[in-house]
Amino acid sequence: MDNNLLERLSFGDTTALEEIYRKYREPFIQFASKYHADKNQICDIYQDVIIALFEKVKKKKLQLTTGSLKTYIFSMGKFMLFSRLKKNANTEFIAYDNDYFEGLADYHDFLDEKDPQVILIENGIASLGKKCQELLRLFYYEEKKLSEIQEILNYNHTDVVKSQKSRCLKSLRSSIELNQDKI
Amino acid sequence: MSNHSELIDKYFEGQLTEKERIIFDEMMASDQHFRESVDFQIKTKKAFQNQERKSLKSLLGQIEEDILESEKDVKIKKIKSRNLWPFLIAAVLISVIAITFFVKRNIVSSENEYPQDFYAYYEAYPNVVKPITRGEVINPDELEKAAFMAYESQDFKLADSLFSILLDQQKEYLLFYKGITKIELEQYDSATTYFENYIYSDGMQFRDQAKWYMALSYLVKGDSIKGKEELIKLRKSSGYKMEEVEQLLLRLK
Repeated sequence: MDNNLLERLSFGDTTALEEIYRKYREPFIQFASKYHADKNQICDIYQDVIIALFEKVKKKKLQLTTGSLKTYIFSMGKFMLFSRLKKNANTEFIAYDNDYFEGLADYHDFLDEKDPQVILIENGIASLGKKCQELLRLFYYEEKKLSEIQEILNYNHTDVVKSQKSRCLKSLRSSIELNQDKI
Repeated sequence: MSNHSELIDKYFEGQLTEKERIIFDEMMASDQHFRESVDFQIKTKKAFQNQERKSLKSLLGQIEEDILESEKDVKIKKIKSRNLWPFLIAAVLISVIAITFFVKRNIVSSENEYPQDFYAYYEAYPNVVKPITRGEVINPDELEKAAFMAYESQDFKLADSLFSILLDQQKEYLLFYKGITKIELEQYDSATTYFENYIYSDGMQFRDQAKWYMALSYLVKGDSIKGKEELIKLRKSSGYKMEEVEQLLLRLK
């Protein structure tokens, strides 16, 4: 059953995301409550865990066998929970064993402060045309290759995708410079 | 220059050969312009990731709220589960009040609320999967029956939270009925998502119906372009609601 869920998740099916969220929510809260008392914060971390899982599965960077989904979610959650507790020095910190597995370092970026220029770019993206947004999203977020984007967006040639992409980047850059000047 | 951008593209595609990787690293160390360009694109990548995370986070936040809401309902149910009758009577009473209110409000405001009264074409799809006999006593474990009972008695808020609990049973038709419930709750965006997911699932029973309700959700929401698109798709694929589809398409011209 988890395999089927993961397969749907890899296609970006958000109802599968919802199912997974509901399925492991209660056990996760129980598990995390051993380490931390604030239920709101636990839920917040759980949401980040599920989002991280979604990203991994969609990019096909995760091969899980049946039954290991729960283990994966719990380890990831434990890692995020401890990292966050460590960060908020005022929260009581409980020592933990080093049993979380490799690759979790990826999730550090859920905890990092946001780079102000990235925030500017986020706003800049919103001001781009729909076509540019879609193209850039496919390339940078979905991590599609230029040749795949050519097919998806029905361009004649990858060169067209390339030049279109650099034009989009250029207008993104100039919209940001404009905003930067305003500040 | 174009050579450079090709190198950068390959870097993002994860397709650099070992040799190109060395050139890439050298360029990063020596060419400021090159470095800035890569840096900007890395940040763009990050920006897209942040955006996507934000929208997922708000989706999960919504689900979390749903869960908390239904936990409240379940608590109420637990108190009364030894004898479900008072609960059922209360539910029926609430629905009656709700229906009266709904009907009244519709009479008063239907003209201005739905300018082209697409809503007039709407009618909740009957429960055809879980027949319920009137007066039947329900075992509290039979959540699905309870969900359809709430659905039949037009307590769509309760139906909505019960369907949510049931979604992980992977019964496709639940997606369809959840969609209808969302229309009733006037959450049209959510409704279209459920219909879409139903159409993509293996469910066969309500395919045309899902298309029809999806079109209506778009129309009532005011998105006539998408609504029209769905109607055209429906006309192509079957004869379901043929007359209504034609009428609506004529209107939308």
